[in-house]
Amino acid sequence: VSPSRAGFGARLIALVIDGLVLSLASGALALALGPVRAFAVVQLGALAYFVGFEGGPTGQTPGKRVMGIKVVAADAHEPAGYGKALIRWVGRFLSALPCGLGYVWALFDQDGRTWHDMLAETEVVAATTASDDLGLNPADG
Amino acid sequence: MHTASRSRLVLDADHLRDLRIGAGLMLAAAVGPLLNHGRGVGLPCPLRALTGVPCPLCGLSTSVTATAHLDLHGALAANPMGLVAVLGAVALLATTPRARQRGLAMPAWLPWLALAAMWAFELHRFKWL
Repeated sequence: VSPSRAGFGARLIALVIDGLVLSLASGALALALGPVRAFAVVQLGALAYFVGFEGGPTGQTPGKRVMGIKVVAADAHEPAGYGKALIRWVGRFLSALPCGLGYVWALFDQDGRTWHDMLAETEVVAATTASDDLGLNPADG
Repeated sequence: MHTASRSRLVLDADHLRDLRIGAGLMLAAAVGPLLNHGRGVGLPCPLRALTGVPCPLCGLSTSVTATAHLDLHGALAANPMGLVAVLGAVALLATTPRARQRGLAMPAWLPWLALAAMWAFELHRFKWL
């Protein structure tokens, strides 16, 4: 059974949480290193953050973990891996370039995919636990 | 589920929920500055900043904010779709649960036509056409 598509609201809040985490780090670095060096370090940090978490076994950044969603490979619904996560990271810049049109695309796309999802062949779905998969979640009644 | 065929684009209840979230955020961002008599913050377009070429969504935040201030001339001059977006957002937020359950269907070419028209308008506005 394919996992259900993550909603736009959950994805947006997850992005805000991740943005806050990275902003706190960049603020601290800017005080320590100065704005120019901090910018470069934060870009590398953000790259490691998104590729490391989204490409890892869970496919979840801290923000996505809070919101109960994860990145998976679109074809197999398995962890996307670091290669696809890297392509997804590069694709984020393309999505953001025309006033964020690539992000808004998820509202209208058949599978709720952004441009960076399409580029990396990934999608964002609801994260389920093993008990959910077995139908043991009491909330399901 | 959201379905698309060659001729029809159907937005299901899940997509309409997502669109309502987007509509609410957009209206909040547009109306928020009214509370402190401000005009909001213009969002810079990365594409235009890097290349000088505007994107289809350029002027949209200005247009939506102007619409919220009832400055229709300013809204139409920045990006006419801002006025449409505000009216659409209000309509979407006012829909009944029953109507949302039925979904929303439109010709599949309509979003593409709107996007192309917006881009042509912005290219003309910034003297590229």
